[in-house]
Amino acid sequence: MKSQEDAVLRIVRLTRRAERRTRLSRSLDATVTALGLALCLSVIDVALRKVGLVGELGARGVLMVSFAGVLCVGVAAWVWPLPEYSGARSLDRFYGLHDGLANALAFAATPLSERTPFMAAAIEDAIRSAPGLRPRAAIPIVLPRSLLATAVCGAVLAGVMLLEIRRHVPVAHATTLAPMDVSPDDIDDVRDFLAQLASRSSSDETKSAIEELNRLLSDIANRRVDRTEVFRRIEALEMKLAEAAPIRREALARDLSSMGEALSEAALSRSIGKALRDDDLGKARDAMRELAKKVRGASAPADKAKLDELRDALKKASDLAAQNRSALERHRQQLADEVDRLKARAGDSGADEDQSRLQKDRQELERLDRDLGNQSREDSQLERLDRELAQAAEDLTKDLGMSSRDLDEGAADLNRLNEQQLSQQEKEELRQRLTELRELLRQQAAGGKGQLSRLKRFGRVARGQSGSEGAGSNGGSGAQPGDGQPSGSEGQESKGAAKGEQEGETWILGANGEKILMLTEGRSGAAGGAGQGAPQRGWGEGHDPHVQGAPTHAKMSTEDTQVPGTETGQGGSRSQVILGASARGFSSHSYREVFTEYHQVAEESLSHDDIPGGYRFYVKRYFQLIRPREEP
Amino acid sequence: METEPIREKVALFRKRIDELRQGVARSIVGNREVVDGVITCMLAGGHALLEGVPGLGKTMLVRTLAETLTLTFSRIQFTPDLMPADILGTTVIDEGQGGAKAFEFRRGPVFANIVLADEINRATPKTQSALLEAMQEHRVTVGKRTHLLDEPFVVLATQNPLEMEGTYPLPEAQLDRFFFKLQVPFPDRDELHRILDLTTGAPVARPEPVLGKDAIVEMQLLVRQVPVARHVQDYAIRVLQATHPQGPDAPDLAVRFVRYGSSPRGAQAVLLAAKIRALFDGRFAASVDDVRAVALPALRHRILLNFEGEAEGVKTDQVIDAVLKKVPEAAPGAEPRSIAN
Repeated sequence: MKSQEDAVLRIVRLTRRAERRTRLSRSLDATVTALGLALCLSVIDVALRKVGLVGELGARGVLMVSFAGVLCVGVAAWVWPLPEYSGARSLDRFYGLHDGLANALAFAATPLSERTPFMAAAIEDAIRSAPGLRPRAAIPIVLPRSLLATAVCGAVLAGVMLLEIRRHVPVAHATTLAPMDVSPDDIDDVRDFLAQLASRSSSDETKSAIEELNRLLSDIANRRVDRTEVFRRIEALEMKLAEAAPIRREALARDLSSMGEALSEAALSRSIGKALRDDDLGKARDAMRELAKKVRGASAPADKAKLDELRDALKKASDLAAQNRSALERHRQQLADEVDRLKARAGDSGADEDQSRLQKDRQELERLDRDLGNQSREDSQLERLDRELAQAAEDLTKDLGMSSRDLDEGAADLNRLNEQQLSQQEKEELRQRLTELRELLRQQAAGGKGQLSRLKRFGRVARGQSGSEGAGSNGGSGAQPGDGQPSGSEGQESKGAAKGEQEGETWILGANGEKILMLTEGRSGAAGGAGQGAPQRGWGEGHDPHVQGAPTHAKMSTEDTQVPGTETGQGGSRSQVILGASARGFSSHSYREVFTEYHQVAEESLSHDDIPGGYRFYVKRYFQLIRPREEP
Repeated sequence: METEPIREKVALFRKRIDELRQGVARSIVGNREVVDGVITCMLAGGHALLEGVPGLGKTMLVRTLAETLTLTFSRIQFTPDLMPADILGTTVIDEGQGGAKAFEFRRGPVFANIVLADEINRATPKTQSALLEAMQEHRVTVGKRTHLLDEPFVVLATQNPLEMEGTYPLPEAQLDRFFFKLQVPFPDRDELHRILDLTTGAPVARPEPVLGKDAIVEMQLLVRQVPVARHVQDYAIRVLQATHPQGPDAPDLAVRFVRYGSSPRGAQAVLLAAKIRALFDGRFAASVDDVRAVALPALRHRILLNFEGEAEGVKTDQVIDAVLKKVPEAAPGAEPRSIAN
């Protein structure tokens, strides 16, 4: 019996070994499956980490949880209870024992008293078959079915980990210049204006501003400045011009007018008074010099009445000037008081809530300081004139020569005032032009590159060139490379081709300088476009293959003849001129006349009528665009 | 514990079964499973219902078996006009030697060891029910007297599945009393060759009796001694439960198409048949494989399909196959009991 129990225990050990293998196989299978799932999860996790959707900590956490889960699954699969007599039944099934081992173990578990001979026989049979049983053979540890999928997941994970996601990291680099792009036509327009202004300007400040603006335009044209720099320099120029702005221009004119009223009462100084009333300081200066000349040449007894009348007028003008000066003093005092008050307010209100108010007050303060400075400069000029007039009135009673010198000096004062006024007008024009230029730049930037390209195309059309560079077979401009022989191109021919707008059209100059459109077979443009860039002197040696006949001999003597056109004033009607200009460019002589006339009307309307600023710009801009251009 | 006697008994059992098989095989070609099934029914003390088209040798099988067993055999051809008395017997007035008249019970054909109820579904339910007591109780009550039937008593009924007109399907209660329902398959070509050789040639000698009544009873008693381990019995129970739509392991087929699953009598039949099958193999205990092998004949007539199942043409064999596939051989998570000293 003892040996039977031992034998049964051997069976038990066998079955337990079998069960362990079953657990191992099951655990391996579950672990590999779980590992595959964990790898899939890791692939997603790593991919999300690579693209930056998951943080480093979160990604590591997911990985740790995944692989901890794999471990847990493996352990759970090992410890999970097996079915009853699992090992024995596995052996039974493999060796075809028909539950011999399982039954034997079940019967062996019954008490001996209840054990029947059949049970004992069954146990004996199991014991007999046990030595030949091999759990290793019955329960082989096979590769898990999900191993391949897991390996694929692992490979994918490795691939994802090795995959480098290129992330856009802005590299710090030196900021390159983004030059401001302005159409050459607009630059030319401003340059024309500056040239015109410079020709009539005598003020050094104005000339300096013009030079500075010319440099700016040159920088813009050469694409050497960016947008910020352009606006900064424009602002600096505007500030510079604004410093000398005639703040009290109207007050000064009013003072001079009152002086003119007083001087008009005397016959000798009536012309001066009239010129002052008309605010024509140049004329007043000339009149005062003339008066000084008359006073020098006058004999006191003969012209006593007129001299007395002049003295009274000068004295009255001087008094009026004194009154005006005192009024100006009061006004200046008021301004000074206001400056002090604002300075005091600026010092007291240090609270945060008054910061905006303080800022506004400071700006007002600066304006008042600037006003006071301007006023002092203008008042000194006026005061000097006043003194000269008073001295002249006093000297009239004593010495006519002295009085004449006083009047000469007064004329010099008027001259300085005139020059100052002219200079201010020029500065004002220049400032106005700067404002327009800034608005122009702003609008061009708002329109983008499309706007700029349209403007450039418009500029070419306005000059009579083709709208698109090199478009069509008419050769475009002479600067376009052609397909002909370079030696056959001649400057004149290239220029002619540039005027063509359509294939088969050629512009020629008529007797009055008018352009006449000639219809040809459509090859002239192509032939003209065969130029290779800059015109060259002389003639070519090549031969157009489209032209029949023998080429012209190069050594043949030629004679260039130029016939200048004569302007007779006879041309088409205005509507024809405008129509032709709109189609062929604003570069004809007739158009220039029409434009000048229309532009003057527009300028008058702009100066007299109440036109909103925004519309004013568009009118100016319109006329700027359709202005006459130089022929290309 | 001495195991030699039991080993000898089992060896003798196997020897007798082999002799019986060989005796039957002299007249019956093929149908090994059907023969084993009929023998199993006999050894289990149950009854068998053989289903097959006419001409497959059902009657011949039963007759041959009876002849090899030296048991009394009677055949009842069931017809619609068959009366219960025609089966059970009747009481008649018998005149004795002295002229005295007395009522005497004349036994019907049911009083035999092997009763062939041929085409049982052609009789009326009343007549079919006459067999109920005999099949279950192995006795017949006529009037006020009860007559015991000789053991072994085996009813082997046949029915034709094709001819439904004029037939009376067996009620469920009576079907449940059959230990096995055996499907007699159509023979294959080789079997047909052998059948034709046997039946169209010279007359074959009738089989010799190989087993007597006592031997059969002894074998029946031996069958009852075969032990069944708890896990095997548990498997049989779980299979039985799974035939019910509400069973814990019921497959979808059972849930959808079964109205009633097998009765506990089905589990009894399964275990008994498993024991017999173990003995057939010379083993001392039934196994799960035995249970699986006998589940079909033991359960197929005990499962009642619902209307949907019948409309879909579902067979109970399909349901049992699904059950056997679904039910695990061992209850999951159950640890073996400790081995006692």
